[in-house]
Amino acid sequence: MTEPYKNADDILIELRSLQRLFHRRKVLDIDQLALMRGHRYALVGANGSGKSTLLKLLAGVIKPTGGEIVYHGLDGEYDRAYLPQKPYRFSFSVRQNVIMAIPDKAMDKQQRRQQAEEALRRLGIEALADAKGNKLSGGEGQRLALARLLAMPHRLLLLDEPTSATDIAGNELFEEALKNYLAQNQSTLIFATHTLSQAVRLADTVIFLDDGKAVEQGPPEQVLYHPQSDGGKAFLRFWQG
Amino acid sequence: MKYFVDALQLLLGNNGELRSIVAVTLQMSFFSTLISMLIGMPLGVLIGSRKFVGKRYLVRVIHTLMGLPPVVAGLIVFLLLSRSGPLGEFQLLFSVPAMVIAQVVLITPIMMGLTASVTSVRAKSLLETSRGIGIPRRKEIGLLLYEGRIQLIAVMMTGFGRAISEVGAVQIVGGNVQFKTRVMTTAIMLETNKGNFEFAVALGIILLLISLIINSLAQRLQEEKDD
Repeated sequence: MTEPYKNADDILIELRSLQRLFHRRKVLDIDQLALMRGHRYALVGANGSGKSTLLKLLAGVIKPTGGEIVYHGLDGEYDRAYLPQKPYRFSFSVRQNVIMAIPDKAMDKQQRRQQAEEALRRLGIEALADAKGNKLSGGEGQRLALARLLAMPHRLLLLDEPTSATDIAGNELFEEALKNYLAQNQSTLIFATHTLSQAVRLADTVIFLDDGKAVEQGPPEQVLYHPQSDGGKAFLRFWQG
Repeated sequence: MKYFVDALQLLLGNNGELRSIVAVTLQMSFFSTLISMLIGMPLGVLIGSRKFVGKRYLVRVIHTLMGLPPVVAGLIVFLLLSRSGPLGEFQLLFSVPAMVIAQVVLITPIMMGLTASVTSVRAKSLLETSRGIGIPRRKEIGLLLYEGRIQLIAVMMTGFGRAISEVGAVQIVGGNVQFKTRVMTTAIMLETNKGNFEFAVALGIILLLISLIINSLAQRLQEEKDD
């Protein structure tokens, strides 16, 4: 499934016959998909539909079993940033947890510290800068993980259920910080979510995954409220209760 | 009770043989733990954090070797170091280095297996996170070791505890030579056989004290981690 696009130069990532097996079971099978530069994609689908697998493949954390992913202009070491579903919090201070995501060569020690503290401030956890990263609560830890990503300008952000553990206030701070970041850096965003309202707020395109296949793609209002596929309709019925 | 009082007098006195036995024991245990740690921990981190073909079988072999009977390890090292063995030319048999080698054979799988187990608990999440934020791969082993440092110190102490309390292998390759390769465990055996119980009890007290210190340190580290 390919999104219609006007200019091939706008393509950031192309998926070609991408497959991933897990214990001999096909967990992802996407024939063709183009992801455009500067867009905000929400990956939506039931548990086990392939959202996390797709993000891991795009992040390079796992390798495809078949097919290929072609990146256009994502050659830099820090061009891609990925937030896993259960991000690890190192036992350093919260500040140091963020500093370690900023490469030495990017700026000097003082600038890295300032950059890290600014990222913590944007996520509302600057007061925890000296606390140990591994002692934070689930929600605070998730905000720390997000601060780590937003401390550096990345061309592609891959987020796997980024606010699954945060409260409403945390969600608002995150979404605000993310929107500012995307506007500032012209980054492309691909995120998996179970919160459909978040998909509507953050994404300009929703990709609906069903049993490892990308079955629908389009504006959030279309895919989420007027799905065409059987899987999409069933998912919407389930979501609506 | 008489043996216990005599043993305490021995401990408070200035017995040269007792001091030599304790010194050889500590020297052998320290070096065998250090070498096992340097070999076993990095390999354990790699095994615990990486996926590769045959990993399951390798882990099974390591777990089997963790339970290797000390006399078997002693026999293998004895055959390797004996005059007609492949390493006979180094004339290491009945020396502290020979005992260290036997201990390394025994303790390295323990270090490796426990380190792999400690590492595997956090490896997936840590590696996904560190790769996700672009931390260079060459730093991954260091990060895994650092994040597991408290458990790894406990692993190290387990190795040291095994080294200091082992008897079969060091008896075979060390020969229990007075003032040279006699360690606390082999000395306890010998003195008990001779009926020299106060000496054996004195050594037993020292061994227990060292064991108590090691376990207290391990427990304290665990408590600090839990806090």
